[in-house]
Amino acid sequence: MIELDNVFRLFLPKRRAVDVFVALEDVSLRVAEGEFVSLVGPSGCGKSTILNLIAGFLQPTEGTVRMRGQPVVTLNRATGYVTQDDTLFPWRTTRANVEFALEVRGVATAARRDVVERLLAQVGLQGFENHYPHELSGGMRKRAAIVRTLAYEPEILLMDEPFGALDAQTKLLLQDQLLRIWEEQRRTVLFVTHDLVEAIALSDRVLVMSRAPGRILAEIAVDIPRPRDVFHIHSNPAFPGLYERVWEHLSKELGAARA
Amino acid sequence: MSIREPDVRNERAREADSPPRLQSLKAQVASRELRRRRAETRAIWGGRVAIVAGTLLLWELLSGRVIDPFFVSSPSRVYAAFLQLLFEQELLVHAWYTTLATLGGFFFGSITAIVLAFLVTSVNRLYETTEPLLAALYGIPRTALAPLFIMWFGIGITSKIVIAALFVFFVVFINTVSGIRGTGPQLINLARLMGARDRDVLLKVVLPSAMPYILTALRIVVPTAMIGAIVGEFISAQRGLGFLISRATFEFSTHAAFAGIFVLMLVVVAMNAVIGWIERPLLRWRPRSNVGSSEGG
Ligand SMILES: Nc1ncnc2c1ncn2[C@@H]1O[C@H](COP(=O)(O)OP(=O)(O)O)[C@@H](O)[C@H]1O
Ligand SMILES: [Mg+2]
Repeated sequence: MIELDNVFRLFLPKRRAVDVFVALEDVSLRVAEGEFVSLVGPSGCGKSTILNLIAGFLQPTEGTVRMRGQPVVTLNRATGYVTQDDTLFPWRTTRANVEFALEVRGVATAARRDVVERLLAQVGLQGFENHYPHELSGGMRKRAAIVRTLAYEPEILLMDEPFGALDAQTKLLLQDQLLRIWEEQRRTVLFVTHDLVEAIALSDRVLVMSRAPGRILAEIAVDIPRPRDVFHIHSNPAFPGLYERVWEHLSKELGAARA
Repeated sequence: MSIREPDVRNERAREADSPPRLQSLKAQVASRELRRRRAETRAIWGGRVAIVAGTLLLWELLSGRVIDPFFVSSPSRVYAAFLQLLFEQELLVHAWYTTLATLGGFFFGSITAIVLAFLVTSVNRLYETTEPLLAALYGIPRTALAPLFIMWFGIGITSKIVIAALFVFFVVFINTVSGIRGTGPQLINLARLMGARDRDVLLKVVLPSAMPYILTALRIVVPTAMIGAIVGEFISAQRGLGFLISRATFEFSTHAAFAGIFVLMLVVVAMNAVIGWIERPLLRWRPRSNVGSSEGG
């Protein structure tokens, strides 16, 4: 469904800079329909860049990004993107934020309300419909950002460290909610994270990236059956081995970064 | 609340979960907060009144004793002149004329500025090209242009409106441009990804994002618009508060000049109040910052 073939992406960081920065070097990856794939790697290795390429925010310097066989040359409206930064509209209430996509698509107010009520209830945001983003906790903002993206039912979900800055308990709860929503709908998900446990708990496959310039180093299939229990993923017999394999690849990169 | 029975407090705390107890707690907190806010408002207004009254009193006392009232007049004389102007010289007509010129300049100048800001920023290259040129125009002292505008538009109200608009234009334009350009590119990208068309992006992302800047500018330029109108009236007019003040000064009637200035102030205060009233619902989404320490009780 999503294919990156020999993708290079270079940046000229400052206006007058001469040295070109190589963010991605020869990256090829595939994400099948309905698959949940995680991307882990040292920070600055180009994870967000990959998502930006798939969303069509950026174009590859070389190589192709394809979606259902079609090259992505402009904004890829089939994707829903939960970005790394906080990108709720600060001037819209929770409800109005979640409604945004439906509103610009011309969905009638009543129909919009129904969808939004259901989604907000699904992630426990009832009672906060009329709050502005600055009146919500970090976890609530993330939840709102996620359901805002789910509201228009994009075929592909891109999620960039959505639970990165949250406390451990909130994170577990949100992972659980995400998994349940996903298991219901089986959308294609590409999920960026720093957290190896999270990557294993949620995904069908984990892709490990090298430090910059980013390349895909390894691909680890997670053969833990679904539905999964994120709260007790540690006690799954397959877990330690999987964790070890991911860590083995990643630790080399981190070690190399230190040298 | 005083802690009279420390031993029972834990019992009470456990009981606090029961709805009636919680209800009364909520009511307590709400009424305490309400009282605090009322006290705050009272303190602020009390302070304002005290400052104004103190200044007037000091002025009245010093004038005639320490300073020659010929130059600085005094509140009682200004009040007398005010009444005289009001009943004998159509003060209200002059005030209305200046207010009209101010409002006209305010709306004409700021609407032109906002529209132009959106046009110029809609094409990146257009903005990059014209930015230094506009900055150069901004550098021209506007007061120096005012006589030209009187020449072009006559001594009637049109020239006053145009001059006031000119005074207003750049501040609103520059602020609106920074507001527009400050819109997070990620926010715009995401809006598009979610299906927003150009018009949606403009009205539902860029405009609200720039709104605080625009409103700040509008607030700043209320007195600026009046300065423009008055400058115009100073140069050449047969009506308006500027005309009244300049005539009074020529006749060495400081009382009347101060009375005119006082009315100008009232008009600006009233216009500010209207802007504040429009602004509040539009900026409700912003977190209120509290930089200063509030002196709590
Ligand atoms: N628009 C850009 N301009 C210049 N450099 C960029 C840009 N976007 C990303 N980079 C650089 O590319 C590298 C990878 O960035 P990113 O994809 O955000 O990494 P991460 O894996 O942490 O998400 C970083 O070193 C970053 O500085
Ligand atoms: Mg990133």
